[in-house]
Amino acid sequence: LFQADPAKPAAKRLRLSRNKKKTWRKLSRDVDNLLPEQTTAELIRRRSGGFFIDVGEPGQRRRQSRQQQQQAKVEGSGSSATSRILSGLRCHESLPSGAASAPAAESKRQKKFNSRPLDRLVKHAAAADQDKAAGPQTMDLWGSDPKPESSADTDIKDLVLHQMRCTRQAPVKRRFRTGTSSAPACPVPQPGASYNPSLADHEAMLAAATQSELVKESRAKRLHGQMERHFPGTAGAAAALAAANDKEMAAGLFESDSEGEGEGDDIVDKEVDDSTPSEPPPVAKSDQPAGRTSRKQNAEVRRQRAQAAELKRRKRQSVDLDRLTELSRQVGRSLAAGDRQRQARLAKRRERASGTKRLGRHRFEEPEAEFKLADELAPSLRQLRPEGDLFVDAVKSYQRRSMLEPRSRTAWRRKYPHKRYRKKGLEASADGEGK
Amino acid sequence: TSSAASLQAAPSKMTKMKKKFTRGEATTFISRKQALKRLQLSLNDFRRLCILKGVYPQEPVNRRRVNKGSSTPKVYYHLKDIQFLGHERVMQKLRDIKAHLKKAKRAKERGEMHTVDRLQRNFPAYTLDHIIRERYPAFEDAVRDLDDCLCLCFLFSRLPKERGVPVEQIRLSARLTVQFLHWVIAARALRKVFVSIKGYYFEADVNGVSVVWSVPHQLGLHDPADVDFKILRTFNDFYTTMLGFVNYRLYSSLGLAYPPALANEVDPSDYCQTGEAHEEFMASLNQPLLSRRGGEAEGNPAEPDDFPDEEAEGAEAASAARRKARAQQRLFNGCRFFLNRETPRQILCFVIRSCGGEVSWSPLSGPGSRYPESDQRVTHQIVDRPLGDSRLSGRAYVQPQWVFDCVNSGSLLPTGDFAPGLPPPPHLSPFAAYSADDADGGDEAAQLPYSATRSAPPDPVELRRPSAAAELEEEDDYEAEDAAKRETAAADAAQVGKQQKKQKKPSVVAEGTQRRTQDAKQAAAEERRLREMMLPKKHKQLYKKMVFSRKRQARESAQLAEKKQKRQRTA
Repeated sequence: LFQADPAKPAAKRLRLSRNKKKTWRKLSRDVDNLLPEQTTAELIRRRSGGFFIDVGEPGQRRRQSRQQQQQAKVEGSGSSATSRILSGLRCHESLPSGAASAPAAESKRQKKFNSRPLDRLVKHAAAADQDKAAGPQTMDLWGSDPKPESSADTDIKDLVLHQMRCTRQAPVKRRFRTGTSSAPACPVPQPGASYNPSLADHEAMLAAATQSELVKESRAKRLHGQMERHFPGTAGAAAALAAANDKEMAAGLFESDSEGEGEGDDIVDKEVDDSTPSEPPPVAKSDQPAGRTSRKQNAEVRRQRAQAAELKRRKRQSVDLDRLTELSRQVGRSLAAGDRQRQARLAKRRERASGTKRLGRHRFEEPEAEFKLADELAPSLRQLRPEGDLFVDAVKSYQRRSMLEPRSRTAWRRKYPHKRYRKKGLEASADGEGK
Repeated sequence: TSSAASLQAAPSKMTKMKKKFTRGEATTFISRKQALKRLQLSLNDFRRLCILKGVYPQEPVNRRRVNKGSSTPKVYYHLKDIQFLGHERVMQKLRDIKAHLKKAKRAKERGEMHTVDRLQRNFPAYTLDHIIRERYPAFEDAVRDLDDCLCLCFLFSRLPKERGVPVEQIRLSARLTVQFLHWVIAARALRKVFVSIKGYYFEADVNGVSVVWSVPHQLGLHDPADVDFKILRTFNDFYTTMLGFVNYRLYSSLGLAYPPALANEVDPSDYCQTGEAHEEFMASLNQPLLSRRGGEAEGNPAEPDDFPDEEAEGAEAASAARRKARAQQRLFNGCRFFLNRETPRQILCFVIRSCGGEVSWSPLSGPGSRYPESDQRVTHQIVDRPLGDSRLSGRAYVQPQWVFDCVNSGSLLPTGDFAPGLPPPPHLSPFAAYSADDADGGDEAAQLPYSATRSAPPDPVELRRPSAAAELEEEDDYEAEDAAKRETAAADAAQVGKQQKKQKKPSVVAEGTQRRTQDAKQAAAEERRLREMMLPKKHKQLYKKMVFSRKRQARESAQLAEKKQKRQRTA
């Protein structure tokens, strides 16, 4: 929790030598220099005869030095028993003002901490205990009345103080990173999804649904075609095998099947011959010849092409001089096109920034819009059968606004029961001993 | 030696080697696993904390840089966000809960039931008030996030007990949503209603901000497999707390007492026990609420001031909107409604009362009924099934859709169109902008009853569909397969898609053959036959199927009409 930021380099460490005696002496000398001549405890013992004199509330502080005031600010009002006692001690006349441990000269960093308003943090942590009893509804969360400080507030203050001392860092401010998505929280369905839509709206909705279906179908078909090209005949064979499998599984279920039992042995389609292993598909021969000859040929072809291109270019140059105005217009058009492309790119970038973010493994998929066919439309509200699920809608809405990352269910891993067994050697020897 | 000396001197003059992944994006982001380690939380607790504090995963611009060269997909958070989470006292509470559960489990396994009871009684609980204050420093911020809050709370209020969600949470969501609906009724804040196949969508004006929320239909919920209820429960925890505070502010802005109390005494004897009476009668949405000063709350809220002659661009639209809002607020003033049993009672009561009407229903339907069916002052009766002859005079019998359409249009529509038993006019979405372009002859037909246009067969060439060819590549092998659900939809809609690219929005069909004279009909029929012959083979089959199904429907509806006529003649 209180680890230092890995990005910032660690503070300078004291360079200690390996010689422990010397190091110890050095340290003890430094410590001695820091301590006042008489420790607080000694002073208290002398003056008070061994008893603490508790003067009372820390609010009644008088004659406090500026240092003590600053320290009081840092340590807060009555947060811990020690500070309360110490501040009480300070109040007593018999004790010198510097009796309590004098704080070291404040470094820049400490000044920064002490000047940070902790009250802002504390305000955010509302008093929980007292309000819990009253119930949250009776309190105006955004009201202007000051909320009483409870133990919960002081707890968090102590926590923050401790962290600041350990890590020497100020508490991190609240950063609001949401709100980049422009998607609405509750997306309203298209007009065609009304329970009694107008013809135009309904047809538009069905058209949109058909488009997505047709796209899916075309993709599947493309895959199918690619499969056929590389592995011809497999698709048909798979279908035939599936049909034969169905036939075998359904054999004997219906009475009409029992007549054809004798012929039912040709389970596999005759076209697919299982006796000989199938040949691998023929390797497609490429047009280009391989090897040294081909490289030479290619080089020759390339040289010829380059020569022809050069000739062409020179010819074109002479023609172009006559077409300068036309060319300047072309240039203007291409610049405009480039401008438009740049605008499109910027727009796309902005859209991506405000759209759904890619978080984690899975991409966010827009859910398919629910629709009802013409013959499923309900003639009245009473007979309406709802489509879709608003819970799924809610989850999708969170995912669309990048508040939740899309997750998929993990496959259920089978857990096998633990088996107990005994080593062979143990059985014979440890019959009477041990477990 | 000199060389050694020079070597020793060299490092101080050379610049330090820049190490990769020590600055920039690599140090701003932290993966989820690292965050868990840093905060010492389990994954579930971390998720819960992130949802409560509003810390969401981020997408770095270059994932490779953040992941030190590797491109494994990971979930990243801003480092500062995780550091910020470290201050949260709820985290300590989560750890306390974990420790508590461990103790309870140990006690249970040891058989120390009294310890288990004690632990259950003292289960550590956390409050979220400070988190809400931190996330929404002003009330307006909370109102802007009210969409999410309401949607989830309404969903949870409809959950059955067996879903694994604690009953208390369901009841709390139900209570808070009912309170919010009461506020909308009192403030007359409802502006739009849309009844879709998924559910009801409402829009209300809360302190100048449009808040849209959805309410599911009353029929049973599906069982969604992909929904993680643990996460939704955490969201709901947060949102119920937030809604409580928001309700307090809204109620105090209207001068109503919060927690809300019923203004009049209610008699729960027929419906529920005295302890549940308050909740049940509040849920009926038909009781006036107590104001802060202790009387019944005032009827009409203060109307907004009218500042004429504004020079701003949107001034006309804004003033039109304000006029419509005011019309909606007093739409059903003076109307008395009676709801039949088969109508969605709570929704209708909410909508009608939000526009100034009075509602009642049969005492057998539930608590909250104010006057009986036979009351002479009833002006409208909402009916959703074919009525017999038992009609009372002096009132209009309408379908529920009349109420919704009136609210959306801001005026009382003619009740004859919505008579029970007849197919009503289409329910248009108030959230969609119907542009003026649709009004080129299509507007009229769009207002026609949907079923009337169904009987006429579609015009093969004049049917225009949105562009199809842009997406598709291999069109040539497209064949119409057997009539599965989607194929009939395809047949219905993508009839001439290939031929026409880049079409406008679909204009409406059916030039209303019923209105033409006999000669015109014949001429039209001839034309149609010609065009049918000119159709390419592929489309002919689809077209034939469409025509067949529509003819069958027309035949059926004609038969039904005939039967009705017969019955009316004999009756």
